[in-house]
Amino acid sequence: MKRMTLIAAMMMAFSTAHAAGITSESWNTGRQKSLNATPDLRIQVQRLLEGLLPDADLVTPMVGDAYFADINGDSNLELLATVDYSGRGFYNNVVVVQQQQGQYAWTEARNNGRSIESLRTHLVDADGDGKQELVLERFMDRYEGARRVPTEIVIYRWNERGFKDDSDAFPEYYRTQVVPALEKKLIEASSKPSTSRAVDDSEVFALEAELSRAKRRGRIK
Amino acid sequence: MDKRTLLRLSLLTLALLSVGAADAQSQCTEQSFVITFSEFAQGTAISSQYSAKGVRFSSGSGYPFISGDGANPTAPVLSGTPQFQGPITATFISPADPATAVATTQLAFEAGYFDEIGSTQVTFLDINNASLGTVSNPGRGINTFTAPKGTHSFTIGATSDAAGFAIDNLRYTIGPSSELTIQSPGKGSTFGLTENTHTRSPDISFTAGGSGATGPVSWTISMEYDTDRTRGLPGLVSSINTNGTATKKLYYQSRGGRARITASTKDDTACPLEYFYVVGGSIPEREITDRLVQLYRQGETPRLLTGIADKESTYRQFSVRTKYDKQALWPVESYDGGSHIGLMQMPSTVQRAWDWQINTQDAADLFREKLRIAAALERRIIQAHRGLRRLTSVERENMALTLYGPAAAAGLNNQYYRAIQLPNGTYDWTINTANNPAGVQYANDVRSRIR
Repeated sequence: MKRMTLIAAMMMAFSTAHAAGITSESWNTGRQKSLNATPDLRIQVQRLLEGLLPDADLVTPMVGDAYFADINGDSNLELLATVDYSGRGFYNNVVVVQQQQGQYAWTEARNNGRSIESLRTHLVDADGDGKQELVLERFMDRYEGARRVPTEIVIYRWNERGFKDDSDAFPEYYRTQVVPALEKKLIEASSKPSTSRAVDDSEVFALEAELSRAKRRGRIK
Repeated sequence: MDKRTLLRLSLLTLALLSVGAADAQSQCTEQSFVITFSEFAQGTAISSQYSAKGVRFSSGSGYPFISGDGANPTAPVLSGTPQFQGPITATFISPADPATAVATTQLAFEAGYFDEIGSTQVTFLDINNASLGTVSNPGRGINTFTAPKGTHSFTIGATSDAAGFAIDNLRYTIGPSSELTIQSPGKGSTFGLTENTHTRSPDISFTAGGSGATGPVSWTISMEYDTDRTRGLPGLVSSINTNGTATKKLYYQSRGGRARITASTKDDTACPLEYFYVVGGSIPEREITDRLVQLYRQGETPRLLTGIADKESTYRQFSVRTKYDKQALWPVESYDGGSHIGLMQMPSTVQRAWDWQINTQDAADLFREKLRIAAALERRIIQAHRGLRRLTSVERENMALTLYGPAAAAGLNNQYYRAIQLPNGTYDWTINTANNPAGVQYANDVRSRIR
């Protein structure tokens, strides 16, 4: 997790260039719908991040998806964006930007996992407290290119320093959501005809490992 | 014309198009039927009541009718007029278009009860009303008659049997009705990318056939390929023209998938061919290695890209699996349904999927860009840490590998190496497992898999 940094934003430049842009509006919850409906949201967010993130002139942050949501329940919206730094489309980093009196603060959750396609589907109230957690898949061991490798569901909880992996604090979510879904997938994968056996075997192996990890998180013996 | 009228017209057009499509479909597939003549009440004169099943009946200048028959255990039956004496003619038509004559591919029926052998004749005609043959009843009792393939109509009559005859249990299959056919390529035929260093298919012949293959024939070949999780990869539609049964040859360069063909003349449209396939070729590992070394021959570790290929795809552009119901060599797609593709697992495009030379060239270009970025980051880190030595060329490659992999990150402290201060106050580089363990692991894995 990156330490939160306050950077003076180039508000004037953005305000001039994008009269109706995201940086010319106040990010309060009443504007969530209109902000998320910004036609070129991804491009605007990319420009914003290029001005915020370190060494962005060299390591370009490519934005995959962007979404405004009130993560901490303070009636101000946070801007979440999936970012790829490789140039190969691995959108597995989530940058969170907060608007604070004309300046922008950002944090980043680097998730060593699959590309995140739609952020809003990964924002889940995992413990029913009215606040959204970020639920992502992460490689249990390592990325192995095209191969199917086991991943684990990781639950990031928001605190004042950003999203932090707090997966072990959500046993009920693993018991009621993750484990049943994996059990269903495992049954389906195990009963598939062996038309492409190597693929099926790696799928079953991965699902078994994932189920075992989820049960441990859910404290299921 | 107001908007409502326009909408109605549009809907009508849509409906007509749908009906047309359904007709074309029914004309292009075999359909089998069984008629037992218990479908209508006894005494019913039968003419076109069975046209939806592709057959109509006549009896001389009149019509046959459904009748009971104490001599036939499966009665009711179809009798000619006059009862059990008149002839019966069955003529086969398109179920979707009664005006279109069709031929049967299989046809059999029962007739009797015959008291005498050879008392009754059956004549079979093809779609041009040419005779396919005449047979007589070979036995007494209820006989089964089987028609030659291609029968369009038959007439049973000219009986000398005292008690006459009737027919029952008519079973038949109607084949495609078009007189224009696609002779080549054949349905399901498969062509590998075997030419031009495994990036091009062999020549594929397109030939029309059938009695309808006269004059100009217009072809449309629609090639499609998308990853398992569809990403809207563009298809390729090719239009060609041939004349009569002449052949035209095409090949596919840097492209594969499954293709649907339509062909038509001014008078006829052939049943579409679904599908033929263009799939991957088997690329020898030696060729892959030579190519990857050539692409990075000026690098400090000339075989470095072989490590990336092994890590990313286990050295395969294509792998055997089933896609579009066809087991063949298909592009290696990433586990997530194909966000990345091929030898170097580059972001999916059609060309990177089917042309391993493009896939590797793009990856080599990207890696060279990562080397440039690594060098620039190195300079910034040195500027921030006075006295820090320059990286070696191999170390710079490690920085670039981390930037190429899925754990690439911004920030001077998130690269393969970071600067640390030694007890004597000077700076040196250290492998950055602290801030980017996944990025370090990726680079180390690549090095360990160099071929």
